[in-house]
Amino acid sequence: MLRRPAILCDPTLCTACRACQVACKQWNNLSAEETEWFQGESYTNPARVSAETWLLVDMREEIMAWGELVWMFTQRRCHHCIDPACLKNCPAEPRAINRDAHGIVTIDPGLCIACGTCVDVCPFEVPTVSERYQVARKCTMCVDRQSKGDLPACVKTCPTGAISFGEREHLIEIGRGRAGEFEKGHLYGVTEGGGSAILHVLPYGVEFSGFPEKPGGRVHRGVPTRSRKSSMAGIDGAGPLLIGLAAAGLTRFAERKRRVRESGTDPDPK
Amino acid sequence: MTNHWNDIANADVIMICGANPASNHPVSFKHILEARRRGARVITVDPRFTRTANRSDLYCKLRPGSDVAFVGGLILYVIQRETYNKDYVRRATNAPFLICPDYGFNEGIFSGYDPGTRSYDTASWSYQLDETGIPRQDPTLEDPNCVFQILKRHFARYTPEVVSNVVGCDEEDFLAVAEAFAESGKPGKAGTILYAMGLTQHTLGTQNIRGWAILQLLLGNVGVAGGGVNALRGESNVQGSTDFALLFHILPGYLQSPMTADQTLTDYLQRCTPRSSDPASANWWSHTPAYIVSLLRAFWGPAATGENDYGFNWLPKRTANYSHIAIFEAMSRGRVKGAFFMGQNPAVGGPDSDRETGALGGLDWMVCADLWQTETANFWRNPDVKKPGDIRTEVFLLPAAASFEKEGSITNSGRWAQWRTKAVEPPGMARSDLWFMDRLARELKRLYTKKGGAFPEPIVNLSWDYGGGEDGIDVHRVAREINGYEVDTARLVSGFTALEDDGTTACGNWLYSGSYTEAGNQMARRDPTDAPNKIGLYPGWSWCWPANRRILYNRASVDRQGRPSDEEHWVIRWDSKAREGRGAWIGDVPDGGWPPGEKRPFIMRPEGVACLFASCGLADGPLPEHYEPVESPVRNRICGVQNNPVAMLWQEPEQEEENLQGFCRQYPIIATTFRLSEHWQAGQMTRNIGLLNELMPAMFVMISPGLAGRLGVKNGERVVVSTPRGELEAFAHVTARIQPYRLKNRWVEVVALPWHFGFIGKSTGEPANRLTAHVGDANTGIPEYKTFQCNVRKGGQG
Repeated sequence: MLRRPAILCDPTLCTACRACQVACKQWNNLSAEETEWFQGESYTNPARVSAETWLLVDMREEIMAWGELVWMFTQRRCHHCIDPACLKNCPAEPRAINRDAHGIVTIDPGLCIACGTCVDVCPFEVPTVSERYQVARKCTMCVDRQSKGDLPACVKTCPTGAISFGEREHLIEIGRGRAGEFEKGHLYGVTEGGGSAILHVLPYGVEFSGFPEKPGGRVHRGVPTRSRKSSMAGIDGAGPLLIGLAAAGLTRFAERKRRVRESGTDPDPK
Repeated sequence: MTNHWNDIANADVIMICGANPASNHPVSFKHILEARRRGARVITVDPRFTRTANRSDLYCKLRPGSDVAFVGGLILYVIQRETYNKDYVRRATNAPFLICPDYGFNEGIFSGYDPGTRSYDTASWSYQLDETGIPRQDPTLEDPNCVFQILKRHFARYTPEVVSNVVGCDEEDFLAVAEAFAESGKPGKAGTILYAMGLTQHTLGTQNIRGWAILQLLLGNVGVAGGGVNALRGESNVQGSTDFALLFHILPGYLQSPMTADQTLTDYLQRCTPRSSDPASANWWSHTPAYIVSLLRAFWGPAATGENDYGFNWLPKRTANYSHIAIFEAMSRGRVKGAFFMGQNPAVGGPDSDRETGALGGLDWMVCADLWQTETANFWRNPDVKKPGDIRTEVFLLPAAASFEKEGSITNSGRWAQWRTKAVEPPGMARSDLWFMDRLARELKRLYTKKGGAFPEPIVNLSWDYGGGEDGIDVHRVAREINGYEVDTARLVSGFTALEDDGTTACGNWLYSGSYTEAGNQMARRDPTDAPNKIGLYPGWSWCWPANRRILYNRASVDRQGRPSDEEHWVIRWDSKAREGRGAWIGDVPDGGWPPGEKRPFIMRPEGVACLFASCGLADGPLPEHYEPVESPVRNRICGVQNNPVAMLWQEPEQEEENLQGFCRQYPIIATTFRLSEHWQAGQMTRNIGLLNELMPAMFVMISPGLAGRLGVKNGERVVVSTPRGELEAFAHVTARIQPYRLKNRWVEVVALPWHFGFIGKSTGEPANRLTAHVGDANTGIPEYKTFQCNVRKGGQG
């Protein structure tokens, strides 16, 4: 394995063929979501990253100030932060979220209590609790493939080199060069939120990327103290948040996240 | 493709017109972006702002069906500004050739037109010949009858202003494209044209390609690295199936199919073998006798003898056009009794698909071979069929193996025949197409031998011996017969120069001669070493027709001393010191081994040069002319003739001003069809895959924000699209990626529909081809899928 493996996403080379999105699902045995129509903007489908969609090509159409139509293709996926909010806030004992010696952030399904804390604190809205498996799930950077010397599935399948894999320092150098070709170009993930293993070339700057300028993890209040798994078997005096969530069902996490995004505040701060 | 996929990376300018490789040939974009990384400019000209346009340096919109106007404007631009390659034009094209003084072009009609038969007598388009039979030339290009002057006069009308009014683009956008592409005419620069069905599926389809070919010849872009006229074929092996005569007018290797007038082999050869009196012309098709006799010998083995014209009269002879629409028209009149559809699904993919689906009901029997149930195999279950019980057609569905479940070759767009091994066993009873064909042929032979019947000889005498292998059929035996062999010794020939016209050799396809020799299966080679010129030829990787030549017409890339005009990306070069001073070519396999200067570069033409002016061979004119699509919202602004006067029609178009206006009031919106990355052709292979349906779950129609506003339709609402053929319901995809065209002083809207959907499979939708019409290109009969008139209204059931 590489010392500090990283992935560089360069939308200036992306044609949105979405082979990465399909390859990710194939390799990780993720199921197809039922979509009646384009759930996101433009051709984006499904609408967001979820327990069954770990990599999403987000397609947006922007008419730029100078009148030109630009079709923006941005990869939504776990950033594998150097200082991950999900990891810091994981309440499970022992902790279910780990960052290994190479910087890869993974959720251990055997330890995850499906509390949804990581869902709430991730600045990129990535981890999602799976209704089916009762654990939070997200991109593993194909650590299983990497450990055998293979490329991550998305990188392997990309026909144009829009997703590249290598040592972080090396990719930062390449990414800065690519971003530098654009007036407002920026390489995201070098410093944001303490940096991440996934780097994004943003040709039009952070403004059009949908990423937060300063992705600090949100402070999470009311951390549950018990596993939701055990609480499902019999509610036994867990905190009020936990009871509420258990009663509402796991899909509530997603709804809540949406409300957080829309209102800018956490409506359920108890 | 004259060139090949890897070669795109050598281009300095890439013109993508009528193709959307980012969506439909995603892997090709690796080479396009590599060229861009090396500094190439990428231009997209398309009715829609596509995924390809999004990755291009320049985008110019173009109204569907106005391609000749656009390319005509580019031709005028490079002639007027003299950015064409003067040396190349004199040396490698028929620009200096003199045309018969009777040739003329008046008000949109070329000389020789007969309105009664809607056809041309092409005699007046021919060359002036000298006393030895060689075309006369004026090397100064000033004679008013020379091709160059005729070309100049013809395209003088295609000014930027006229182009922008016809095409519906901004004049500045057109000029920006013209300036960028004209750069490729400079010495050492190369420009490539990448096209697909966006150019071909028109009543002017052939002339659209001709237009781009003329431009490429003027700029000296044919035969060079990073140049060429490159068709991005729509399926992985459609190049192979064309090479093997899937079309009605040819035999394998592009030999012409016999007509009723060819009563003997001599008649056929008289008609089909081109002649040239010019010693500098290689006139390669003069070898036609060797190729056809070797083919007949492969078909009928020892039964093909000199006495019986090698079985020539066992070949079916055609009397008419048997292209797709013609077959379905004949079927709807009850003239076709049975049909095979192998990997084809006309109930979704055919034009006017309801009419074609209806025609299937006239068959006594139908055989479909496919991976899944198709709309064609289930046409009697179509929701529109009121009484399925009345349909008497007997339907058989053969379970076909997928490409990874069988061994054989696939020929890509770049003419590379790549051998594939079987990766997995086919499921259940599925078998390869070859297995089905083998069983069918053997059973037919057995029955005709036993029972006789009408004209049994072609089947009874068929040489059919491909047995062996685990499932009884050996694909290697087929490949060896295709390569060709000496009849007496069964020794495989090394290439088509070894083929004879006396029955001593047999060869299933002369173009593939050399693909499977005594040295082994050349198509299975996987040597990743590049040739010395380092332009991505990889001569030891797979095998390429003809003769492993990777760039066609490469003799045009060198001067009379064999020196390449582009030193950086040279294709071939004459090394005079090689072979003890006798000299040899290095680099790619040249178009014939003659020393430089001995033969003209375009060896497949009897003239020996490329044709800016097509003195014969085309039905609708020696030069492209803009005619409106059969269904168009406007009058032709370039000439007085509205539609291609020899387009293949099965109904007269509305020519009367009043009717035309009425039609356009009823159907005011232009419609075009397209493909997506996420689905494949008529959809059986992708609409049954959940992960692809997740991305593209339903039929939709792209609508501009302006049109959506006027219709009161929001993104994701339902709309109904109608044409005289029928109507369909779909989601409205409201997007700025599609915009109306300004045609002089009015704006015309356009909508675009993917044509992948049908009523069978895990995702279903109404087929776009319900809306398209039975009108075809004058030369090929390809349907005009890419432009027709429609109306759109809000509504539908949801």
